[in-house]
Amino acid sequence: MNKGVKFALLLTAMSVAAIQGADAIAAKAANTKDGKPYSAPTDKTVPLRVLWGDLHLHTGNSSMPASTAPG
Amino acid sequence: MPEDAFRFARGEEVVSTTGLPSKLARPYDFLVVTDHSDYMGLLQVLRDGSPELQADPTGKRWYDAFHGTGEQSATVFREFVESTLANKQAVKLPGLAKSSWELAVRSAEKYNEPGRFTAIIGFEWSSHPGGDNLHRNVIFRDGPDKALQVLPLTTFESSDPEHLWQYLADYEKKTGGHILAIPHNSDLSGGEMFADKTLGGKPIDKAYAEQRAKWEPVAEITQNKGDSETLPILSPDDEFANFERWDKANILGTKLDTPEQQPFNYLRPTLTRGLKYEAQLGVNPFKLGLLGGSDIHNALSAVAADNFLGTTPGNEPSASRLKIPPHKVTKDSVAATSPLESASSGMSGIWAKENTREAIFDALKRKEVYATTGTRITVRIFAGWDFKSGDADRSDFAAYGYAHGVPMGGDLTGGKGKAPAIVIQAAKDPDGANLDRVQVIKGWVDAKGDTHEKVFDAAWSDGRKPGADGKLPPVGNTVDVPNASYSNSIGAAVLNTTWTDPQFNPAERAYYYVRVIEIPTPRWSTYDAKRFGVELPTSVPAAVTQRAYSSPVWYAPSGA
Repeated sequence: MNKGVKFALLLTAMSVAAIQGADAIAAKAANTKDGKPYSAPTDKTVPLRVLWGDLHLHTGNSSMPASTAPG
Repeated sequence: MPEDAFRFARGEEVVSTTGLPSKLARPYDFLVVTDHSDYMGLLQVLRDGSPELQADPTGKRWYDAFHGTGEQSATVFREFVESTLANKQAVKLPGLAKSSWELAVRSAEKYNEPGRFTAIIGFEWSSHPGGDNLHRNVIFRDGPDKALQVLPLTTFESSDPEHLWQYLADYEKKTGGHILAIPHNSDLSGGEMFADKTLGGKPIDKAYAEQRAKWEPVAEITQNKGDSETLPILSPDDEFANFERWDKANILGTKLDTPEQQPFNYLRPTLTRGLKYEAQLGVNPFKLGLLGGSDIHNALSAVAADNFLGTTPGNEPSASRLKIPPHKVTKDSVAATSPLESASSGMSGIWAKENTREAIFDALKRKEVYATTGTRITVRIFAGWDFKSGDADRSDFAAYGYAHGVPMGGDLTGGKGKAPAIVIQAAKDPDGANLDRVQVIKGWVDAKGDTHEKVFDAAWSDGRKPGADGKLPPVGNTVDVPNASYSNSIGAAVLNTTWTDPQFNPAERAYYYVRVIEIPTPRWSTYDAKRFGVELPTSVPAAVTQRAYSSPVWYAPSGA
């Protein structure tokens, strides 16, 4: 097999892997020194960022959206 | 409609009811549309007509009036409100009740993108017996498969919160799902939201306290119809207590407030009374986390003071909205309010593990949430026995905090007589004002059963020194009223500290929550006056101190 063909096959293999994406590959056990995942956020146990939003909003599906709205 | 609300909250540009192109400067991570269960969807069929509506004599009359003169149309709305006040459903439309709930649920489902934007299913149960506000928002952890197995409870079925709690219990039993309720506008409750008795007039007992604590873990402390933390008459030593007060009357304006009612309208004294109940009953009915909501009624959750798009279609931005006269909700109301009195508030910050319905709901249950008055201050606290100076600046702050203490919403026990320490991180809104100070608010009950509160300044900007009275000098005021601007030349971007209770008595039950105060900034009405070139009314302050309220941490003596 000449170098050009080898290179083409390598590129093809890399492309297939890229198309499959990370999710298509089975997860394996951590092999780090302390046994914890290398990618620490996969071991997510605590909130690390605040989420912003509104827990109380009305729309036209309410019956009282105008100035009569009591609350 | 709900879809517009979700699109707007996700950051899309939408057109308001009055035709204004409208957009958030920064999208939200989550939104709950909580439309009123009473007569849900009726406005749409009044506008468009429906065979079900027009087959009902009152429905037909309302439809005709809605399309009549302005006065006739206003009569319809008045009859709406008065029928809810009387608990008499004037028009029964079972088909509409089902279709409008399906619209609410399906809209949330359409815009719910786990990990990116969470659209939570909910509704508002709007009980106001005698005009006293007992409103609750009902929040579902679940999706349509469970939420569509029920219809929202209306106040025509019951205006008693205990029946709402039974509805919540029935929902969980029927579906296997999870649900909770959030009281709001206690400031407009005529002393009833956090009363020492049930709606039926019985003293609070253990069973009532257990139900209340189970179904209502959090309460809304700030929104457009006022702030419900405290009042100057309740907290005379608190120089920040006079903030966006709605303390004239109950929600329908049927009764003026009295000083005796106010402790039952506001959260700080209620949190303190809760400690007494815990000592007496073994359960604290008012062990409430704190959060913010807008309660805006035009689908546009916009609470930044410089982008306040109104609370109803009738008071969206215009040259005239500062001059809209006070309005009475019913013909018998003894008090009236104007849009000028609305606060551009509030929103919630939630420490959830991920941006999903489940994670946000679970954070609400454990009270790891906080409120802001529309600004995006970041505040995080942990309370423990061994925190020391400098811990707030640790690179592993969160992991260390959880490992050695409890977050906001948590319970502290033990301590072996040591005073608790609270490690606090507070950072300014990245697109907003600097911080004036961080305060710890403590409430406690002494051995005699008397309640107390105290505000401690825990960290502050600009190297100020407390005066002889122990009070910190004001941070100053850079607000340029005519130009509706301010400068971050005062204040601090970050205020981190470890605060240790200097007056701790291990035998006394206590709670601690953190309040973060910004430097003065223009009120929304000041921005309006500049934009529209109109006179700024003197009945409202030109500048306000926006703030954040953490949920409390509670302490109980060991073995208590």
